[in-house]
Amino acid sequence: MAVQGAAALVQNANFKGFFAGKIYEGNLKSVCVPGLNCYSCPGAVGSCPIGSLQNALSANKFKFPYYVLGLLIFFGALLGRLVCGFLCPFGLLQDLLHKIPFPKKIKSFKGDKLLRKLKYAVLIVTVIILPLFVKLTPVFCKYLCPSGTASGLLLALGDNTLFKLFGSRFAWKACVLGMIVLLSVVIYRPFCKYLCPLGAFYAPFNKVAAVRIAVDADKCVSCGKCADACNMCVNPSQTPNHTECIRCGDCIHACPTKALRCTWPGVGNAAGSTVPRTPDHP
Amino acid sequence: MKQRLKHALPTAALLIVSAALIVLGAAQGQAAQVLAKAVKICLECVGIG
Repeated sequence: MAVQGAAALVQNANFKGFFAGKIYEGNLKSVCVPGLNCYSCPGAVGSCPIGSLQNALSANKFKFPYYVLGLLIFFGALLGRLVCGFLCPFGLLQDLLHKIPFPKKIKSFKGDKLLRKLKYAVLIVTVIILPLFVKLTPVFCKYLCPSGTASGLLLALGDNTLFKLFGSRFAWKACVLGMIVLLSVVIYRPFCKYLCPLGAFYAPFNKVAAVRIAVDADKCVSCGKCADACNMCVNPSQTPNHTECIRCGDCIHACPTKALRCTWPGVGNAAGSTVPRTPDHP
Repeated sequence: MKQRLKHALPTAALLIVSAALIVLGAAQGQAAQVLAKAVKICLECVGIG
């Protein structure tokens, strides 16, 4: 949580913006941050990758978005969904909300697996296809993005005149944000699991990213403690590089035999005397 | 060694491709386009536009 807090602070280091109700206008904003952090957040010092991608795709004169896509692939190839686990401010917000005590926390439910596919549809339909055809309309930002809604609220707290401009669209977006906030108390990271297009983009990179998790088959006693510890409902001993894994490290801490470990290319795999034997490293 | 290479190759390939895309995009002025959008309040994002 300390790393997540530090990452959120670094990405939102324009502290005076929160008081003035104004956004940062410096050159750093030509670079996208790895996580979902709206560029209209008064603290944001970088650009939102999903907003930038939609903006590029919905431009009147279409140009293939080499720059934004390059940055997204770079983050994905280096870190995979570790971005979700450690660098996304909205992930941190959901983590904090999930710490609020509630009588019955829901880990999984009927239809959970199917619902997780929704984020891929959100990525393809609202971030790629619709902005391509409905010009100058970042559909995901406009109708769904809770980070943007929270940014609007933060801006309005600094500059009260903005409150007068909020209408039905804001009411809709506030409902979406409110639902995610309420659900986050009961379900671990509902936005990351079911809606986030950025998580959907990074998910396939988990299998090829520089940061991966390896299982030492000689040490694993198949006790299932790693799967029990995983809030994303992954079984790390079977699929350590599953698309849903956000690299939070809970499984590594839960493993009684230290069979799980985080690896980098050239480090970890060959560091020990045993070679991990997993579906990803047969 | 083979295991190490198998782990590193796809990652390295993707990093090289991403670097090429970033350079190509920046050369076309796409970083400036990102900046131009980001320095103004995105009305759609905050729920106004």
